[in-house]
Amino acid sequence: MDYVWELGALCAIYVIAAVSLNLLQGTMGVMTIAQAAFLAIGGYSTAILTTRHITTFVPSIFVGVGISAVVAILLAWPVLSLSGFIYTIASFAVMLTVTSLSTSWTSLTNGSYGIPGIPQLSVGGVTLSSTASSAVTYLVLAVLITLGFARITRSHWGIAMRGMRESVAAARSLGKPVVGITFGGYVLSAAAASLAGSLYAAFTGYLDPTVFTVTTAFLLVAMVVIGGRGNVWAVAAGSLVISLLPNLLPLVTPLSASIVGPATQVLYGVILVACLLLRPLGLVPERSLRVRPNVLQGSLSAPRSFSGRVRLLGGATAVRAPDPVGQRDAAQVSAAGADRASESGAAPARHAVAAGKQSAAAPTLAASSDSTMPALKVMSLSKQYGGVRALSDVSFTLETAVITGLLGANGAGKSTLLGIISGFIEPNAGSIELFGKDITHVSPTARARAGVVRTFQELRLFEGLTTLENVVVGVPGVGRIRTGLGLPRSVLRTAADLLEQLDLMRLANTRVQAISYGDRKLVAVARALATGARLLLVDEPFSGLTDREIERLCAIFRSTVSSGATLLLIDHNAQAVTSFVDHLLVMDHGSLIAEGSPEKVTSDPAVIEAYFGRQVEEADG
Amino acid sequence: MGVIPNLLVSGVGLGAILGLLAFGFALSYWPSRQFHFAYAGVVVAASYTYWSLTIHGISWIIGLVVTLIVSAVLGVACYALVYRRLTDSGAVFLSGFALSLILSNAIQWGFGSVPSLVQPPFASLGNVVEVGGLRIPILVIVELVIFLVVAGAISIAIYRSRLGVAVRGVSSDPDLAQAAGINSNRLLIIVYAVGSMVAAIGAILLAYQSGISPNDGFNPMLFAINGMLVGGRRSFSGGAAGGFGLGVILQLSLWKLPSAWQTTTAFVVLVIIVLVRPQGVFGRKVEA
Repeated sequence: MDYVWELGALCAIYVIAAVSLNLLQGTMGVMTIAQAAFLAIGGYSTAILTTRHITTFVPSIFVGVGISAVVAILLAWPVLSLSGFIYTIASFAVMLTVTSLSTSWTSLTNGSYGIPGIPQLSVGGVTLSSTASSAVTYLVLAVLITLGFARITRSHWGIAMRGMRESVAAARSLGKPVVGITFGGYVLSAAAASLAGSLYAAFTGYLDPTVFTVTTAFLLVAMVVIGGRGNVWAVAAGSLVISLLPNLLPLVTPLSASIVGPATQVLYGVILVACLLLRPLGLVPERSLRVRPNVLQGSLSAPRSFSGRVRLLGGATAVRAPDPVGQRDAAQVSAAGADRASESGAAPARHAVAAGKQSAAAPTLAASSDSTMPALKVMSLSKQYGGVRALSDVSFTLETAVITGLLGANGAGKSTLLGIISGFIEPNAGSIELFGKDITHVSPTARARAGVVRTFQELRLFEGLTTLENVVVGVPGVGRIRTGLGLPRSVLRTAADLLEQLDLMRLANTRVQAISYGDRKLVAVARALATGARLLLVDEPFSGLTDREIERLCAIFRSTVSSGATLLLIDHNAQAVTSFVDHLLVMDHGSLIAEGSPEKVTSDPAVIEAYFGRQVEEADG
Repeated sequence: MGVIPNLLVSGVGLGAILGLLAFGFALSYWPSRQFHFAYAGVVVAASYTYWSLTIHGISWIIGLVVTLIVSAVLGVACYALVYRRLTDSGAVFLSGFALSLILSNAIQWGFGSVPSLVQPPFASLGNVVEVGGLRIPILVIVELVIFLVVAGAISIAIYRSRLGVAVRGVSSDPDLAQAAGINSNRLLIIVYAVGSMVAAIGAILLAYQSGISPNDGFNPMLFAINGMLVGGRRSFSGGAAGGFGLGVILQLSLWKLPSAWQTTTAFVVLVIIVLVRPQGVFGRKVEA
């Protein structure tokens, strides 16, 4: 019987480790081979501190977690700057370094002799002396930690992480704290892995450098891949299979003891290859947020100026009277069992937090529309790439609550200008003021939070996320710690409102990689609108759209502006832009060549010469 | 004579081996952009093939030829049966690791985990020549010559032959090369085959140098990849030079550092290079 309990405890440890890695590898998309390093750090912290009677078990866990957190921050730092596989190789190096340290730093780790006699788990004076009691404790811990990670994954934080996995630039453009999310996720993951290491050391009573190695690290990766990247419970199940395999193999096959090791490894390899070839997303792939009909009905009025009724998946359209019980029944986001309580009416505090945020955003909108201060003032911006002048001495002003169009042929400098205003490109000279505040050297994230939000010509949607999730990421507060751990219903409602407004509700639960080009463009706009931006920079909104889609988009832009926002449309579809905007800017060869009302600008001979003339020829040809 | 000249001599030997391994990896990596992690398994399989043939009295030439064929078949099999069917680069990386796990553990299953020595075919390879008081093993000279000849010949082929132009074309822009009518699938089969053969030569030299053991593929491969990345983006000869340079630096680092820190040293060099000069030491800068 002890053998079974022993297996149970080891499984629990692997479940914790695999689920912790899943947050990094599955949810955040960080391909790391260094996760076993945190197990080693936790294990050695406990082994060294308890055998030398420096601390007891529980404090040793915290020491391990602390060291792991420091290492995690060091590892998280290059995530955003190193390209994919170089990061993986570097993490590999960290893993090898930790293993070689535990071998060569003999004064601390006792080298390859290992550390024997690690005292058994004891909490608050109670020692868990029997295998059974330790195993039960471990299994309970494993379930709790899995629940915790499942909750994080389903929360607004998890959705933001998945968005970042798909496009960091897009997450930045929406004002998501990408650095904070990366660091936070990494530290959380490392802490859980370190705890698993401590538990291992206390359970087996012995630790040496062969316990947590590169192979362990890869097995953890295999558990995540086989289970299903991003799906916490599937990963937990996958880790059970992988950790039981070497113990079950000798029971069902006549392999001698010396062969079991390599035979198991061969089997692991075969399973992993088969899984990658046959089920690349894992046995049970990641699940998206799915919203059932009626979920978003409620009495809370929509925070934005849109008046469309909230309706999901063709559900009932009536707006119901306040009914907390009914709301609780309705607030069932499937596959988010852990989140239910927080989304239902049972958590008014969270609603208040989110609602407060929205009402905080609304007055600024109102105030800005009343003020006579221009939304954006660009002064003498210049940008050079090597010898090429992309932008020379560009100055203009965008009036508040006005739609301005920016026209220019390819290479006129439009995209560079947009990149500079949104903070993605650093200008060589000049300055930018947003409502009178200088933002020339402010990061894209901070700019987006101040109200400057851009879309991308190449869209950069969060491809693996649904339409609803894409828009949810845009909502202010999503991805920020102070928004709490759930998924506030008001966030869902804001997103749902926009989907309704843009006629995208039919695609709410569809992954955006599977929807049409025209709808993808609308999703990009919806995502940007969800931020409640005061200044929206829209890159090429009309290209590739049908006339009907352009009309729909124009209507949305008008209603956005009527609620006090300012819009800058960049396009080379002269016809669509001139017929729609209030104010027109025309660029050519990096400079502004005309500015004014569409009528005035389009009759300007210089503009006709430089732009419209050519455009007409192109259209004719 | 001091320590440094001797370390330099052994560094040249290690550098030649790592240079070969880096070159072989680069041959398939730059055109395919597939992280051929099973390379480690191919290296081990090559050294065991060679050893198990020659230990039974088979001549070294036959041993070499069979080893080259076995490696080429293994390398191409990894590509054609697995990598080609995967779209995601992370999946390629993981499957490569799994394949390498399969290869090295199958070898351990068959041959046991005890390391074995591999005798060079000529006793004279064990000799040492003295040049100005510096003792240089003949083996090091042979390694350097083989490295220069193999890497040099293939590099020239890449820059002169029609096939070589196609390889460079696919390396710099696979889609464009495809549009230009280059059959990239056939081309990748060729580069995987040639790359694996280069790896086999490196593996045999490594076996002479330090014996064989089933798990000995990983570290040399990591060092080789490291060298290749240091060498430079899309540069085959740069990769070879990077591997060579890294081998020399690793041996020289023994002057002050314990050997357990070699891995760390290698990766510190890599991370610094990646952060400071992302295109590599010999790479050309490409505007993204």
